[in-house]
Amino acid sequence: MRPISISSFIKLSSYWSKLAGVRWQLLISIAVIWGANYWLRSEYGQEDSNLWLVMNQFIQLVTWTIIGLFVISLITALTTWIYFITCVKNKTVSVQIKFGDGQKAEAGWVPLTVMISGPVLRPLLGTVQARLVFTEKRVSDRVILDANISKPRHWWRQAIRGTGQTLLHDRGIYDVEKILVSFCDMLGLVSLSCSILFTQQLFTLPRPLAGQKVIAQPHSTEAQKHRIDIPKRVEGEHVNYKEFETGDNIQRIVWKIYAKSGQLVVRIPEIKDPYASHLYFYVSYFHGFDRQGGAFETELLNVYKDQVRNLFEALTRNGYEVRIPQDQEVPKLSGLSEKKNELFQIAAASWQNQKAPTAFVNYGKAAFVCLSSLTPLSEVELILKNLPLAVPVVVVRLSDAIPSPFQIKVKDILFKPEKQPTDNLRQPWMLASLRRALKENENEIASALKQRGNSWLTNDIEFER
Amino acid sequence: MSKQDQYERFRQLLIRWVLVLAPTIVIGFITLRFLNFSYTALNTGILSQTIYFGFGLLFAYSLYYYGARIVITFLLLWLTYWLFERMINRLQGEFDVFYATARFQLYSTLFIFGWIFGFLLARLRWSYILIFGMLATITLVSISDTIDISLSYILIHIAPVVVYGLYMLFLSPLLTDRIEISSKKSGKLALRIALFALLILFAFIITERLFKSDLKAVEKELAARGAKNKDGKKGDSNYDERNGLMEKGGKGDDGYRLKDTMRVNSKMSQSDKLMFCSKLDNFFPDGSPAPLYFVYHYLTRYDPVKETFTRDVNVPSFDEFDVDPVNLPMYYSYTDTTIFRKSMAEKLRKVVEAQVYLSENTWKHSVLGPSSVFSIQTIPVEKDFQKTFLSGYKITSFTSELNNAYFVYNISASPNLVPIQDKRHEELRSVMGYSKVDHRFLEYYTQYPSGGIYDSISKLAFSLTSKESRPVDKVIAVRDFFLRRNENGKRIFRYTLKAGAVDDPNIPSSRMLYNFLFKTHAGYCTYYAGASLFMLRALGVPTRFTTGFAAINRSDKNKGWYWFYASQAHAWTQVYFPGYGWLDFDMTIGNEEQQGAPKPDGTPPLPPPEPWLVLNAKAESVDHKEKKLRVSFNQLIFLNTAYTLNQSFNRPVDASLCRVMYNKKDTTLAAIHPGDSIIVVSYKDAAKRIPQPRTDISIEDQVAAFPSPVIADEIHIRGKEKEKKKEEGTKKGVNQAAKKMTWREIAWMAAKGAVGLLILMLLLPLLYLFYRLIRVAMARDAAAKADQVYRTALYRLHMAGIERENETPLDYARTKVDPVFSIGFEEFMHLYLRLKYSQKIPQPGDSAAINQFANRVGFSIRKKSGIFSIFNYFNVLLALRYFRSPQKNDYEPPSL
Repeated sequence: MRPISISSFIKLSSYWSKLAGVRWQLLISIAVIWGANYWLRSEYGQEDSNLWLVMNQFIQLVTWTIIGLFVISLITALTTWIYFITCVKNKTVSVQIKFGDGQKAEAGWVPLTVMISGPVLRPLLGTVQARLVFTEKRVSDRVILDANISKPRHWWRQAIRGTGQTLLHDRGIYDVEKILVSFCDMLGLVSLSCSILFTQQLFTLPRPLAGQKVIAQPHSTEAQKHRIDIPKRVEGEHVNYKEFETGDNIQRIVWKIYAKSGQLVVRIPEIKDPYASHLYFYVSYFHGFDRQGGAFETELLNVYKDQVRNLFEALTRNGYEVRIPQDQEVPKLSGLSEKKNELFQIAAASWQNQKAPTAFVNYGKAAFVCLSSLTPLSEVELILKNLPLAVPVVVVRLSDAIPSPFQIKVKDILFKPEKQPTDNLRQPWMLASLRRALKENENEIASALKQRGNSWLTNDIEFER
Repeated sequence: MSKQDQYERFRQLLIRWVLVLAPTIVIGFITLRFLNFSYTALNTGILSQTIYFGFGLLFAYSLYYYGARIVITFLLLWLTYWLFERMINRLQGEFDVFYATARFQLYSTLFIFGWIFGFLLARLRWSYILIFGMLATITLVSISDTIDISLSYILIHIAPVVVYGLYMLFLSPLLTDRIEISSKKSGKLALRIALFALLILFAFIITERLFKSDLKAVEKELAARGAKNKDGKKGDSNYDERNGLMEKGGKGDDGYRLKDTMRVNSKMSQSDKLMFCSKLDNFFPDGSPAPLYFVYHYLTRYDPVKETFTRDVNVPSFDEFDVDPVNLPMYYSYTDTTIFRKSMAEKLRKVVEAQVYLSENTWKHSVLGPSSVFSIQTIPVEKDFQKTFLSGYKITSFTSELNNAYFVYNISASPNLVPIQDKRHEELRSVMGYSKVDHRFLEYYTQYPSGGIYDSISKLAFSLTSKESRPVDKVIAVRDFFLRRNENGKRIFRYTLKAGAVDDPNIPSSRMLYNFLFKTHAGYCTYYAGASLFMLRALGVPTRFTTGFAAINRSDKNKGWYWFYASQAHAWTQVYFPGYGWLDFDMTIGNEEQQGAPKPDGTPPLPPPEPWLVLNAKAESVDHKEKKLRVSFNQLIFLNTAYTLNQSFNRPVDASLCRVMYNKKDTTLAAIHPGDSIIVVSYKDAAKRIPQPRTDISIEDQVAAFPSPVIADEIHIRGKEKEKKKEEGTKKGVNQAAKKMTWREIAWMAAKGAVGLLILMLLLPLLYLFYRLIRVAMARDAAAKADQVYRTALYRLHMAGIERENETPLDYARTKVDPVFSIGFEEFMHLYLRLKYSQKIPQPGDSAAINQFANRVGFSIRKKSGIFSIFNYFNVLLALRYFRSPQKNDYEPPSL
């Protein structure tokens, strides 16, 4: 997720500008007032003219009214800000954030709720805004804390809260480092900031695409059937048993337990064959090209993750439990259900060039293999060669992950299409050497896949067996 | 984008229409209105202009809101414009093309302006600053073209723009976000905007207070410069109520404001609005009409502090006729014979009659006429002329034979007047000086400040003539000074409405007069009048500043009829000559612009027929079929003499051929109701038998002998309504007086009210307790009683300081109440809940338990908190908290 230098500069400057306090409105307003004064003076400033006599008075009146308003506006912002800073120092305020459904959300516009508890005052008619600051000083969009949470049956409030949304385009982990609380005066002239240290990890999931059907089966279906038909006896302990259900083999009822507790339970086989219950979905994040870690690669990874999630969900819909072996170390998050954990793993992964797919894919276990078109041809060929023909292979085409700038619709002639986070990458991507290399690689992979069958080079996973 | 998103986006657009576009259209309307007014684009339909502007704005804003491409849309706009233009040019008929082109250009320009504004607002974040700057510039430039400038004028016109700018500044931070329109949020937004508006107002008021002295100084300065209007009717707004009438146009009163005639710009300042017309019975011996200036007010006092001329009714021998013609019933007259004495003239005086018909533009509350009016009679306006003239009166004035509107002013136009003027001067040369004049009077009218500018003016005056010369020679010397020519034979002084740097007609200040006399030599009537007044007073000649209208005889078609337009508003000086009284001396140099009237004279209204009898009567009965009525009266005018009778008479009136008027408008006999107060007029007419007035018998007897029925020619309904209104008016007057007198009383009343309200508010919690106790006492069955006791207990416990927060009532009873008071609230709760939810069947002993609990509550609270716990009931905030339902904190901390 390392951005290219210009965008990183822009992002950094946006962070520092948030800290600056003074906003453009103030500067522009001062310039306009001064300009207007100057112009009026030079245009009408004739001594002894009635017009000027009145105009001068008028200028003064209006100027001072505006200055008065500005001063009131600024003072209230300043006092509330200082009060807040002292509260932060005295640790009488606390911050809570809620991100998506608590901790995770799908990438894109993510709902965000920020609540500051404690004695927080708003500037007169102004607003208190909060922004999350992630690593590398990336700043979220602002959330205006405009709701009051009052103490139950009390007049005074105990917290202020705001709900908003922020654009988090990259799929992955976001580490919140601090929260930037800004006090904005009523005229929006200044935005005085105070940062509160705050650590929380949030993560965004790859985005779900339209549901598709991908048919794949565990590698050895027969073995599973066989085991179910002839269950192994289990001696001694009642290690694994479950409540009897209609359809269970009555021979497997454990009568001893029934005798003791009156409960009908059946044994279930202790040793589970992995093929019987899990579908191993091998996803390689191998980057076989010259890895630079720029914005292109981040975006390719985003697209790849979306495709992987999509494949994963399509496979899950087949009724099997899908497992995704990882080709890299991924931070673990406790308290997630199994499916969520798999999703988290997809989200948290990144390009790697350590473990090639050949070294990673277990030909015996794999039921579905997904590679990116960043995988070198030799690797793809090797995998195709070693993998049983029944196992589908998908190579995700990434060369058109970032759409071409010339890709326009008729409507776009009259109306600007909606802004996408990748818009500024579209032109550079057209000219990028990586794209050309990818294209070549994809062409070669395509021909290799053709020979095998049961394998696809695609960016739009719309295929049936 | 999903459907919901699209809908939400559209909603946001609608919200922006209301919050951004509506105010912009309003400010557009205000600016357009002002521009139309400023640039004399008359009758172009400001509303339709605004509609085109607004349409462009809405269309462009919505288009760009949805991200329309700039180049393409502007190209399309241009293409549309071009196509339309081509189409219009192909129209048949030259005039049609011209008309359509003019229309098209106006409206398309406005549409494109709206378009650009919409584009800026939708696309540029700070565009409102640009728009604000643009509007402010347009407004200021228009203001600067205005002649009649005042602070309030600027403020009134620029204030909307400033408010718009501040509003947008306030709003702009909100616009970047999605604006929710739940009732709570929009209410909050409305509240914020309202508070902000209030804040602007406060800031403005405070600044205004801070600058008050400066503002006053400016007003003074302006007043000194006479910025209010050309004729100086309003040098100082406080100096005379009647002068204020001229300014009343805005307050729903009638009257054309002189101010308005001078406003707009120099081209428009010569307003061609008809003020009034008059038939003046004043002719030269050869029968040619001799016009006279019509006086409005005399400004006798010069205030050196304010540097302005003011009207002063307390001046010795003030010969201004003080009556409000509106208050005179039809055909009634009012005569003030003291005017004869006050005019202090006996030589060469004559009585001149004039009929004055006032248009809607004229202030109808004061008398316009040649100098020294002493009598007035209201007259009706002939039916066909009622559209032009609202009212009329006949006046008689005691004017000097030596007065003539032609002197000085237009003398170049009629050289045959020179001998007349010379004769006048010759006559006046008999006045040697003012030694015999009352010294108080003389002192007043020769009052002249000293020092600085005044000294140099008096020096100039003395350089023109010696102190010993006769008054009339002094006057002539001053006149000649203004008529001087330079070596090229050109006049040194000239007439201009743009006097020097000061481009607005008003009463000039001393500094401006100085500049006029010594530097610019250019000014208009008030400059000439002001300067000559200074010079003459410096020379010891009693002089006064007179405002009114110059009469111009434009055609001989209707001899003696004069038409007065707003541009004829004038100022001149009157000089006092012992024995001859006050005489007009107009020093203003001839002005070519002023000579031609903007409009030719109109058709004079027909003179009203002479009535022989006017009855101020009350309608007793009305027979609409027969067109007859019976009236009773005790006031009448019989052959121009008003009488009040000792007894009331009752007479039938024949109204078959009569004109009935109500509120000066024609109506029918059906409008007269018994009890109405009416005026019955009967004309002198050959067919009628008109009794001759006799001196030997009393008027009552004469009236008794009047022919019966009285044949009415006109009936004016004064009506009950009118009386009512009058009553209201007087009541209002009384109220106003009360208001004026007793601000303190009002403050007292307000304070009393506030205290009363406060006490009531303090008592409310206690009253609520009583209400609860009454409900307990009135509860019939056990379930209802338990319910009432429960509610009362909750309230009392709350007021005793045990507040329920988010607990359930049972929790509250268990955890909060019982540990403190141990009143068995929990047990009672169980009982209460059982009664409430179990078909309300009480068990034996329930009633006793309820009663017991009810008694325990009060007792324990008193025991615990003492008798003074009653004072808790004055804590309104505490009580209010009881009624505030606990807010649900729907925030869930993140589940990790």
